[in-house]
Amino acid sequence: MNDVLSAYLDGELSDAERAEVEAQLERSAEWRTELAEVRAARDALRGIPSRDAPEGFWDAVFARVEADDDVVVPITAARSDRRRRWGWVAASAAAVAAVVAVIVVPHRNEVTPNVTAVIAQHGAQGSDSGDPVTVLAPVGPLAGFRR
Amino acid sequence: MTRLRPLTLATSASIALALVVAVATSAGAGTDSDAKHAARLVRDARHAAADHDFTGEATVTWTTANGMHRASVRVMNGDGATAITASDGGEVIDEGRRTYLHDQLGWTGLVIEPSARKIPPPDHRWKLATAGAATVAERRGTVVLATRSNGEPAQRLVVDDATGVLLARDVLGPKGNVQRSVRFTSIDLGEDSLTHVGVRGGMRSRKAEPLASAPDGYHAPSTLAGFQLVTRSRHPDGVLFFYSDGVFTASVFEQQGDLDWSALPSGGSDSQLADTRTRTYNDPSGDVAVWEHDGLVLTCVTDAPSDVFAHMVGALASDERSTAEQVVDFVLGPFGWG
Repeated sequence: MNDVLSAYLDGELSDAERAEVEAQLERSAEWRTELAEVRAARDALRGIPSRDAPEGFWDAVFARVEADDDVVVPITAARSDRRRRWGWVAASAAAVAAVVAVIVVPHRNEVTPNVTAVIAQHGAQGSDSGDPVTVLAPVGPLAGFRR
Repeated sequence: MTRLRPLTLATSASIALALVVAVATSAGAGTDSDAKHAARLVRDARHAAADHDFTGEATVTWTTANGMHRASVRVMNGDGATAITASDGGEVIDEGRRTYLHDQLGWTGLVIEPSARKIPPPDHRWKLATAGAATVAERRGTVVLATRSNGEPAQRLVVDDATGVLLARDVLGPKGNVQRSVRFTSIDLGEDSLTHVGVRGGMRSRKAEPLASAPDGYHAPSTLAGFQLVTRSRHPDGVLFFYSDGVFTASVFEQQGDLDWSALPSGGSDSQLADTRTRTYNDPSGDVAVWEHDGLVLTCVTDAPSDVFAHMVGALASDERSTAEQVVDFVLGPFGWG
């Protein structure tokens, strides 16, 4: 069920499969609860904060790669076995540095706000401080509007 | 002809001046009294739905670049809960702090926010006044206007004279045009309308984590273009700041990262606010703007008129606030509003 709902949220199902899942969601409270949990888990993953690399990190990486390039470039030219070995070592070090940089230093994430959810949340919060009918009446058409 | 002596002239002038002052004072007292009355009507309307059961039909209208849109909703209010059903399938059930939404994915329990207790009074920013009587859904009500500093009304309410229930709410643009409206077309109040609103038993709702201050990397001034920060809360995918100016409300949802413009919902339009690229939407519930600034993706929603909204987004996007706002922020910041 989890995989199906995950595929459903990712828009990976065919029209027929999607219709089947939606019918099941209408019928089953268990499916709806599972869907809410799958969605919450995805939201939580998306919410993990990303951080920039420490100041100077990328300069150090680029400097290292440039320094390694000086050694690697002569590989195509006639050279001694010793230089060739150094070239391979340097190339390997650069590759490892690049992999470490990708894995260890998180990149900034791309964010897509769930606009409809923010609007609905605003209505819910507003109904706590204002007249609930006039605050929430517009949320009803919005929910249907997105069908 | 009898000539008035100087003393008589002075006495007459004094009496005339006293009369003018008395009349002016009386008029001022009347204005103050009316403003207080109007503010009380607005305050009471916020709670009237909790004290009166009713059922009815209401019309929701909103304006987009494509013109005016209209939708009908059925409203049932009873047992401390409100159910709103749109003709196109959308449905909302509000039980105070818990709110449930029915959309294409079925029922969803919205995140429970911290209670918004310390909202500013209705006359915190807006000049309030009554403006005669009006009949809405065959019920007699009092018109209450919230007016801008230039004298143009920003909101028009009609409050039921017998119960205090809000019968109509019009949000007005700077030229007096209706930008958004909710208006009962029929309403049945009283003993005969006692109704039971189905509560979504078994639905689970997560609670947002209340925050005493904005976390590192997030930005939310205590005051913003006339709005006061009321609550801050952490969600799984960001931080939500809720503002009120006593009449209108605004939510600012902040997420760290870079905005993926291509994945935003269709139906919006690109515009420049405070030299910042912004995607804006006009939805039945309010105006929405999405933009990125200083490593944050911001989504702002408000039920305020477009000029008030633009001022608010501009202040957030440019991070330019008046000295007074910065001073208030410095003073109130440590205490928080939420």
